[in-house]
Amino acid sequence: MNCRRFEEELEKQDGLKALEADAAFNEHLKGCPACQAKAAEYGALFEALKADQPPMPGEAYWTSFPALVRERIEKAKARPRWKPVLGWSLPVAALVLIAGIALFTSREKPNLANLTAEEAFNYSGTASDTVMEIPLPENTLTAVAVEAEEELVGTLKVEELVYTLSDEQLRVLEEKLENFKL
Amino acid sequence: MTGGEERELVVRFKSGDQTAFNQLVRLYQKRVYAVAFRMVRDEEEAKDLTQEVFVKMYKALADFRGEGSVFTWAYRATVNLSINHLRRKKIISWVPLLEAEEKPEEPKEGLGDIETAQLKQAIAEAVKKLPPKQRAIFILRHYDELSNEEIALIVGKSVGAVKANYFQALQKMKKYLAEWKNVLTGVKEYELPQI
Repeated sequence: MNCRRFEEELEKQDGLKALEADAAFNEHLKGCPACQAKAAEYGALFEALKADQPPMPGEAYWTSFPALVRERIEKAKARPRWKPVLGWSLPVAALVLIAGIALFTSREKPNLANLTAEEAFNYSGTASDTVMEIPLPENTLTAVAVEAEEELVGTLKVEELVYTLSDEQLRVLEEKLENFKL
Repeated sequence: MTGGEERELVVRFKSGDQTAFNQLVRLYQKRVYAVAFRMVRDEEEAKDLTQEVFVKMYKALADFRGEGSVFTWAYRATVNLSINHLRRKKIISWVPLLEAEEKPEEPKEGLGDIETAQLKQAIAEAVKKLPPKQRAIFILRHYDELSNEEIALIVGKSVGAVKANYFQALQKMKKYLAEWKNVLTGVKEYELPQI
């Protein structure tokens, strides 16, 4: 009952329809309970996936849709182009802010070592680092958190900030956060 | 619509006919929305992304040289924008105070019964577990029935990688939906095809 032929053939023949039409494989299927069970599972999965239809907005929405797009195009034309000037300061600010708030609200505090605030800020992590391995003195942690929270309740919102990042900035920020898991 | 008609609309738009752009929008709006929804699993976010795809298309058409099709371009833009949207949500979820709200999918009117609604929810949860690019490949192949070659152009991977990713996604979906096995097997009895 451990025949893997069904899945191998499914991939090789690139789909259930092609597989169903394969006479040689169907001969195998008749005498193989393991493949019959797999066939039943996949058949049921495909059938079940048919239930997954997106909730479509009504026709009125689609009739007005080109006008909504136009409106957005006009708004985009009117928007000032300030993003390139700020360059990498935005992702850096986002990283500090997100990391600060995440640390501040984390229930488990990291091990603290006897580093100065400057040393801790200058620490350059590696891809395998987790926050537990990054030594941060308590005063630094508090300072970052307080600063981040003040920024948050002030004019800068992380959510808005993240939506201003370019694709490349977003990729780098995501990579850094991945390496900074709590 | 044929490729020739699509190209004609592009030519008309480039020569100043704004109605041609509206026609292109109408042509692809529902398909773009369906892909966006399946990627992000949220109606409002999908509507927003659909609009964004066409805003980008409007800008891109000025430089469109007719290599490839608008259709492929629209799919590519939808997938890329959706993946970036998911990345942003993931980053925002890093900030506990701002954690992106996970809205449970409300069963819609006209849905058969509770079990169907629950199955839909289970499928949605399973799709969410797929990594974004694999999710895109699964959606384009399974729901939009695009060929491996078309998907390779859209997601920027080789045909072999597309094929492998699709089958990995399929196996994961089967695994994630394992608890629904009773429901799944109750949906349809698999019959051996008649030869």
